[in-house]
Amino acid sequence: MDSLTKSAVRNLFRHPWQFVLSALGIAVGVALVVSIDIAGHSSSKAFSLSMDAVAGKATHHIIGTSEGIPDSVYRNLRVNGGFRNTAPVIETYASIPGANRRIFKLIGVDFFAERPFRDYLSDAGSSVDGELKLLLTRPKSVAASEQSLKELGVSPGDSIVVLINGAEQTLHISASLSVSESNRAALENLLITDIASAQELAGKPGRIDLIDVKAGDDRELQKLKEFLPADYEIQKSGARSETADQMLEAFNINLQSLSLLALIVGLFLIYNTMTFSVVRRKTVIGTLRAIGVTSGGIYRMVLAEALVIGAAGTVAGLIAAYFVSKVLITFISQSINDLYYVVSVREIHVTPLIILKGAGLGLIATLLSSLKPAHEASRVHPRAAMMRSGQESDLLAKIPKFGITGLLLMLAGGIILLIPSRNIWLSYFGILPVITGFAMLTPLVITGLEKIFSPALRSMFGITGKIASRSMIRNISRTYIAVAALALAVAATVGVGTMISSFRDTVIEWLGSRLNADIFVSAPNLISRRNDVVLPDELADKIRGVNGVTGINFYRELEIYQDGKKIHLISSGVSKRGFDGFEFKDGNPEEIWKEFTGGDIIVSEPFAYRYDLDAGSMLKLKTDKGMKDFRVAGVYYDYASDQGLVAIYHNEFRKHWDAKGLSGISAYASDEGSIERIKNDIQNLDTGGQKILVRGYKFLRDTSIEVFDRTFLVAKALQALAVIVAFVGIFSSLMSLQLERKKELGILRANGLLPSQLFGIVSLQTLLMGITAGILALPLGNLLAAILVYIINKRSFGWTMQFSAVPSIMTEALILAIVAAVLAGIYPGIRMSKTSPANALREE
Amino acid sequence: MIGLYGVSKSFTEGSSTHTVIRDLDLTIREGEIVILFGKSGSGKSTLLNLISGIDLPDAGRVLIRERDITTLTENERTLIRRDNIGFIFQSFNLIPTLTVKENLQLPLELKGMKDSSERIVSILNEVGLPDRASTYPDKLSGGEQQRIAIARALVHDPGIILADEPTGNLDYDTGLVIVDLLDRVVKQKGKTMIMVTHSKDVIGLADRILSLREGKITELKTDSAIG
Amino acid sequence: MKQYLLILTILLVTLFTGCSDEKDSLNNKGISLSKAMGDAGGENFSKAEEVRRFTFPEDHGPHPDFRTEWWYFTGNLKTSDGKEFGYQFTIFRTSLTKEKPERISDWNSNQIYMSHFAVTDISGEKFFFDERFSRDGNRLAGASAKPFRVWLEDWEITETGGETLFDLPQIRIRAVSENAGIDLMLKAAKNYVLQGDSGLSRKGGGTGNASYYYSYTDLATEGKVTVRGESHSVSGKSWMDREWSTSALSNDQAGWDWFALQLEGGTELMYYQMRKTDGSPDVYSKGIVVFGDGTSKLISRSDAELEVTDSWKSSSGISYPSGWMLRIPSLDAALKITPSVKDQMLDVSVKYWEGAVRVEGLLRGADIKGRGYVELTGY
Repeated sequence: MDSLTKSAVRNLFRHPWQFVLSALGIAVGVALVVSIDIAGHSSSKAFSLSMDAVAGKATHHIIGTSEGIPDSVYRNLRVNGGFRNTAPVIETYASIPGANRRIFKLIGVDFFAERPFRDYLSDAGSSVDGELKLLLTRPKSVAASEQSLKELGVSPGDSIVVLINGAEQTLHISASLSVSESNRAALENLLITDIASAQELAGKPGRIDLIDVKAGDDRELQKLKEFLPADYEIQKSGARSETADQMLEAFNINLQSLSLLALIVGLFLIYNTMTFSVVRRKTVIGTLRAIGVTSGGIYRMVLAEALVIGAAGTVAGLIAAYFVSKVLITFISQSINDLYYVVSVREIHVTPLIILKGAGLGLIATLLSSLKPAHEASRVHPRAAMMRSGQESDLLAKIPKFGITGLLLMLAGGIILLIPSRNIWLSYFGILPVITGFAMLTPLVITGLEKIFSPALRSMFGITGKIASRSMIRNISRTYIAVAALALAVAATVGVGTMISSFRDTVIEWLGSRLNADIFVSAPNLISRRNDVVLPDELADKIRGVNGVTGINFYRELEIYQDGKKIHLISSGVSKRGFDGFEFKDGNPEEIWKEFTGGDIIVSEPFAYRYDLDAGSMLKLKTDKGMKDFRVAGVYYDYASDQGLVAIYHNEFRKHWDAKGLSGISAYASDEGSIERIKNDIQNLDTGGQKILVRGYKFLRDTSIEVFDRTFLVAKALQALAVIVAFVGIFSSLMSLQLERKKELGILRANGLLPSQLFGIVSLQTLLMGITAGILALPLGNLLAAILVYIINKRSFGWTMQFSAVPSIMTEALILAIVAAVLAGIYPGIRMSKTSPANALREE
Repeated sequence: MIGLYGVSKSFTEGSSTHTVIRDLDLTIREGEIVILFGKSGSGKSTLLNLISGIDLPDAGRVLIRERDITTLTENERTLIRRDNIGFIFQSFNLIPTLTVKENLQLPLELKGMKDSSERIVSILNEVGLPDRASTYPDKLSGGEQQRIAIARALVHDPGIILADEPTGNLDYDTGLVIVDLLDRVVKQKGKTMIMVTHSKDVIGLADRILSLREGKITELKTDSAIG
Repeated sequence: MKQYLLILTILLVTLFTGCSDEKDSLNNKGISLSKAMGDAGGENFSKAEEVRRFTFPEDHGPHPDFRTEWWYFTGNLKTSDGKEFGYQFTIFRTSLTKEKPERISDWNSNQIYMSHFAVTDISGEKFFFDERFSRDGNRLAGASAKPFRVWLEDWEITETGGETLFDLPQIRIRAVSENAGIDLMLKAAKNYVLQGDSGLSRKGGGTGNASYYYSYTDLATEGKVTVRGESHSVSGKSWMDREWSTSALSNDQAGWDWFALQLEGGTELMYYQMRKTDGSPDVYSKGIVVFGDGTSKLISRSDAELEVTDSWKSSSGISYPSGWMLRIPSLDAALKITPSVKDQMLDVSVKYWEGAVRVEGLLRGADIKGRGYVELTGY
């Protein structure tokens, strides 16, 4: 290491506070981004592993109609077609009742067809005999990995009670599959049963979900296709994982971007630290320049210094990310289970790419934020060596110009944000100039506020007040960065908080109009919003017949795989009354109702956004009778699915799809007093063994909101972390600022200022800065929230939301800024007041 | 070897322009020790800055070893400074984060001289602080700091030393020690030095004494012995 | 005659179609596994304990009360230009339970089917084999007497609708594997023979260690053999064994050498020698000779003398006999038996050697030639 670098690095350790705090800013940012990346990756990995576990070495899957694949189709393939590399699969989920809600994937296979597909089955059970007999001949027998059995505390011969499609089932553990490195991942959360048991457990006798295929070439596939009914699809085996990943994309990006906000705050902290560090060392830099260090040398020195901070922060952040992700993963997998698909994430998956991305992000952020301080340092004139101390730069004179640049930047950001693009990253890229521009407005605000505060402070605190407020202006080039960093950090919490709150209000309002029935009947389900369990068709009539029921709505949800995408189709047997709960983007609801009942479809807003549809557009859907075009009658507001929904009138649905059964039924009661009785009557109806849930409006609304809140737990957690970064930001900025003023304060002390007065000045000043930052954070926070609501969310999901500013969040933000500022002032205040003036005056 | 021809320099502060150097001609021969007196604000430091290439004149030429540095880029001037000029500051300006030894290493490194230990040991001996190599500057007294600063100015063997009130921050006795040191390590080694000072104690060193007033040079003493 | 084989194989299936390493290790544990089978898995299956009356076509169909059963075909075939082929095609059935539980799913199964299929390209000195498993659920495999059909997915034995001869419908056998296939029409040229004591074939000591066993020793065969995509029209003679039982082997039996020989002039000879664990022939070894007129005569252990004249080592290092001299003094027979191709080992769940052989020698003092199949297990 050359002496210059040594000097730069030592400089950091001479000011460990600033070093640690600004590294912490980066660390928190990196930790958040990376841990979300890890959590997202781990859940998608867990999903694809569970898919792989089922897919095995299958290259393709045969997908049947909405009703699955009849046994006879498979028989025909094997007995008449001689297609050996095929295997039937039934998939369902079994959840273990209890606190931890562990979910297993239950697959039903024909063990005799497994050899080409699933390795782990042959690895398994080499120490046991007679288990195949049990699996085949004893209904509801399952095999699971010895690991899973251990975790469940059971062994072969025992039974466990699980919930499958809402019905309690007693499974007999017949085999323990030994775990090896190669099959460990595949066997995790997997229960394997015979296909006969699976059909019985899943309530699908005579039906297979998928046929796995191992095909050597396209010719083979073509031959296979000829043996299948015309509307069957042969899908590549990775397709389902891909679909799942696509589903999660927007969800993940949004989480990521929230964490980027934290990183931006971290970026400001580094900027702050480096700027201080440069200002403080003007003499040293001048000397170096005088004795022959080139300006490039200085530039590199400052960058090197920043990089050390960035590297330290990045490393710390990466380590922290590992632990944070363990916490996040619980939240995220919960949300995924609520919203997308069943997955049980039991393991953290970190890839080199994630680490690399995180490290790159941390270092690049550091570099970016230190470019300007480095540039400034390189421009320090050698003359500075002859000056007594670093003097306040001439920012004061430039404040108006500075402010105008800020405004222009914000404008540029606004223009970027308004570019009609669906690229979420472009949108986020637009936020950056808005934030930077806003930060540049800070000096203007500070000087303005000072003019307001100064007389009041003067009269309240006398000279102490005057010094406190004046020195804010005198050190404007330093104070403004501290205030801006603080304001930004607080604004991030306001932004996220307000966005969530706006979203929540919108959803609650929507729930209020959509859930306009009194009683809701459904089958219990693992995924809160998706209903793959079906109620018998007759139940609708039975409910209609219950005394006191004045009308019903019912629906059937179906997932269609088409062109590698999954489409949620709702067959809606909605009454006019129920239909009135739908709100449309435009068009006359009465007209839409007519068209809808006449065979047109309606699509939810996110769906319309994703598929670029509008009223009048045509949409091709894969029906059980082949592809068919449907006309879109209208686009309705819906917040139930970010993937979007397509609704079709029930009568029309029946014409094109074979799927039987209903996913949910809702009923109107004649009067409020009879609701409880009707619920009871419905509960007592004969449902043919299917367990049903009968719930009231309030319950359903509350559970929906609960799901919403769970989904945003991660965002809330991020918000909390943003608060921490904010605090770190305030603390670090204010502290370095105060420590920087050691000499100035020493002079005051030498001139007779009491330690308590000095403490007063420091506290008062940080308080002023806290208030200023808080005031600044409010408009910026709401601006960020508006961007998140109107641009980011809209572009990510296609949702229109009502923006609502939240006074309580703003109050909290103000308090946060002030409390943090005051807290941050305490340490330097005490330290300054305790330091003897002689020490303070001493040359560094 | 140092030549200033028709050099003018003024500073603008707000709306008023203040001329510190006015159409100044000055040549300094190799090995000459020149002492520059002048009131505060008379432009002494500016003159040093013009010679070192830190500042550029508004008009005129500045020749260092026959090269007109006013025509050079900032970077080229820095390189000339690095190789030819040693600085001694009033407030010492040692790099606080480097030890004494490292402070001395810095100019050598900048000049690209790798093997420097011997040179540092010998210069520390010369300035009389052989045992302070691993001390940080803030643990040194003012006089010691200035001796290290002088060592730093000399360590890479520049031909020219520019000293800006080297004793200005020191007490009288310590000042004398420094003057004595400068005599030994600068004058007796035949280096060129231009020193700005208020102190009369250094006059003994001088070959020439100049006074700067209102931008013009007046010679107070000419050493006729040196032809 | 493949009970031992079947038991082992079924056990392996029980082990989730194990990978090859495990197969070996399990092979070594074969004896103990067969011990485990001795009690018929605690299921109350019927046992072959006394002489029964055979009725046809019913007995061509399955007997699910018994634990195991098979339909076994071998034959030596020839093209018009003299190319020779051998084939073996067997479908095994095994019951997991005596009673089939009532269940909703059609996949419900208590019967497992296994099939072995091998073709020997004698002229080309090539041997191809394959093995399959299936359950009877979803009708992926099964057996029925009326109409006669035994199938395992697309491998099947079906009646053709032709005239039933000697109580046996005319049969079509179809099987295709990666490199070989057969599509053969078989019709009985001779009546069946009941093996052992009127069809009760005792395999070891103790009650029930026996099987019900009948054979059609002369089935006129015509059809196609496909080898590596090349189809050959062939004709020749096949042999069909039908056997069902619940337990057969006793603990001290290691395996057997089994011979089914079809000699010129319409004489067929079957002889099997049970080998004890110590290598000596068991007293339960026996056979039958079927004459041209359909009459037959049992051969007991004391009637026959089997001498091994050659051996062959498989790639896995197991040494098999590979040439015999079979002497039956009462028939004035001395038959030299030579494998048509040395390597006819089926490397399936349980390795065994089964292949086409040539026969030359003396019968009743006259020179005679013939073809046949030999099965060697337990090596």
